[in-house]
Amino acid sequence: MKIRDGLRVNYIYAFFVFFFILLFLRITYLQVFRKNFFQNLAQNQYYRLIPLSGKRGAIFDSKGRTLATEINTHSVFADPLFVKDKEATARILSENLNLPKQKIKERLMRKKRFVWIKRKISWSEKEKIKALKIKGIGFLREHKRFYPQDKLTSSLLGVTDIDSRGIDGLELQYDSYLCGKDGMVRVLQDSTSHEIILTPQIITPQEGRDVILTIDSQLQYWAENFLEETIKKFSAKEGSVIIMNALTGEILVLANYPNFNPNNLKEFSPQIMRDKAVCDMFEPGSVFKAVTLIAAIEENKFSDSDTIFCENGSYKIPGSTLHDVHPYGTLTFREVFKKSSNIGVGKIANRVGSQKVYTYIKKLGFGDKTGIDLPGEIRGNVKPPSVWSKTSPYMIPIGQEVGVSLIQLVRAYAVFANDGYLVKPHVVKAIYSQGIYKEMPIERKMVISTSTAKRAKGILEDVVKDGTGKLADIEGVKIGGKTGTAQYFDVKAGHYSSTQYRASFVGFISDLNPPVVIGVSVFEPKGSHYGGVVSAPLFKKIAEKTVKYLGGEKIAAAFPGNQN
Amino acid sequence: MKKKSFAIFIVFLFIASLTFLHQKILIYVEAYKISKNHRLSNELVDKRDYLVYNLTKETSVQKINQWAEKNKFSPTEKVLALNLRRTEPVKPANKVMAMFTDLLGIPTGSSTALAGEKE
Repeated sequence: MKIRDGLRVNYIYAFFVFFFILLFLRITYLQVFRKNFFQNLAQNQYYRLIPLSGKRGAIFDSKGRTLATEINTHSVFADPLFVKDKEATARILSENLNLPKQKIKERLMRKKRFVWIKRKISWSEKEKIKALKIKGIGFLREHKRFYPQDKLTSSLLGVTDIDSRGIDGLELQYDSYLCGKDGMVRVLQDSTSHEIILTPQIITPQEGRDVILTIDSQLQYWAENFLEETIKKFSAKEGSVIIMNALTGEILVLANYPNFNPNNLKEFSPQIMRDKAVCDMFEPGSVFKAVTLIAAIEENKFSDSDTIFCENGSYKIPGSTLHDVHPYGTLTFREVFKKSSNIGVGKIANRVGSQKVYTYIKKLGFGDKTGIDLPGEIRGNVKPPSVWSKTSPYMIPIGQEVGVSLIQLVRAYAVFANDGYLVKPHVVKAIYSQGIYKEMPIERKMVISTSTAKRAKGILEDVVKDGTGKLADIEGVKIGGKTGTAQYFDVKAGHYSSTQYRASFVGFISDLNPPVVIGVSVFEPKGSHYGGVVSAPLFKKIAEKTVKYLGGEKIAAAFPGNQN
Repeated sequence: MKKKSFAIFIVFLFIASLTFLHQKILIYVEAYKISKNHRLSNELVDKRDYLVYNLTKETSVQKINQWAEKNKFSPTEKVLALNLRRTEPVKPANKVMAMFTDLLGIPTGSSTALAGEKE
């Protein structure tokens, strides 16, 4: 009996030993061989990686006014698993977030652990929803692009998408500078989903660089207001204004109308967002006569007193007939430009020669991109003489059969004001990042002699003083410029429209130091369509404000003989 | 003797474990405090951002100009006199007075009246 009991004890003992050996082996297997797997499983449950978005850089104007910046905001998300009463939650969220109830409900019904409800909500909206303490509804901090000046400079600045990536304008052009780099932080999550920064393994986010523009918002404001006034007065379709520093190519104003509010993109069509001053091409009309003026002077073909017979208003050319608005007999070289005679300019260009005219068209930068730091710039349309039609030698010098942009015209007119230099227009003055201020280089090259530029400048000043641009004249201020009225070429119909015109005026204020060039273009004005009637007064209004605003000490320095 | 040493060892081990546990809890308490402060700081930053948003919006170039136009106030315009030839300053007729004005650097008016243009 005793032996049997002893044996039974031994069996039980052996069983437990065997059981513990098995347990030990299993523990060893889990703790040693599967260690990494279980460690990762636990860490995934307790630790969470939170992305930290790198703030996008701000955009300032030349005086330090904020044009675009980023603010912190919140986006609402839901974990549908935790939302018990989906119907009621959808109703509450719909009332507070101004979203359709059905849309929210549809999102809450998804078999996902994360769905967006609404992104980038206002502070008051966030506070209201937070106070409701709805289970399964949470907030994520995000950045939001904000344009404090609303419509001002909108077509120049462009816009960003919901993830703060530039998609148009400067935001797109300088995206690589403005865009910050995202970072990451590792946090511990407790049983109540609270995040605890216990062992922060941070990849520090990098802020984007700030961009400082050459634009002056105050001038921009006046220019946009005057442009809007003119467009409404003449019931025009659209218009643009550019003001440029003639010495450096710094763009002080770049305005388009209609414009849009980048803070509220949904209300505007992409067509409105286009930067018309840089991306649109048009036939310039008489403003282009300045090319012939320069070619004739630089090639020394005419003196100011040389006369040209202007055929009393009608002149037969190969393949067509040239007309003047007012018939003229004999005019001096100077008077041809003052009165903007098509026949006179056609004859001058003919004597200069097609190849030479083409050379000066290219020298003044037409048919090539100006290199302005904005996306979508148009090259224009300038054909070489080898493919010119019979009418081209007469039509191109008067600004027909050629396509240019307003920025190209402004750049070409800067050559008169800066004694012969072709500048590269630019809107970014400097880039600033972490105490480093990097100024953008100024590029320019001499394309005509100083004497030619000065003589041509004098003739263009006559145009304003006593010619077609009289309405742009300001008492006591030296202004030169040229009006332009161009018929719109209807591509669909295949001929010039009799109702659609583009009225332009491009001029410079020589009295300012540095001198500035102002280009004005209005498309499809009604009532009057002449550049001298529609655009010259607009130029005058803008020029008056510009002189008063930029004048002061600078203007006194330029004219030491004056007192102010 | 052996029993005494063993008891001391156990007490020491207990105190060491307790200290370790206490330190660990302290770390978690501090971590919770930091996280709470972090949350608070984020909330303050958000509030500041919304205030900056409102302030910038209300002081935009457009708003300032609209206010200036409404109140007939022109803060940025400078009134200028352009292209005027330099003229001799008006000297007082009295020589003694002229000497005084020269000595004291009192500005004299020019013969061109610019009173209306200087503001």
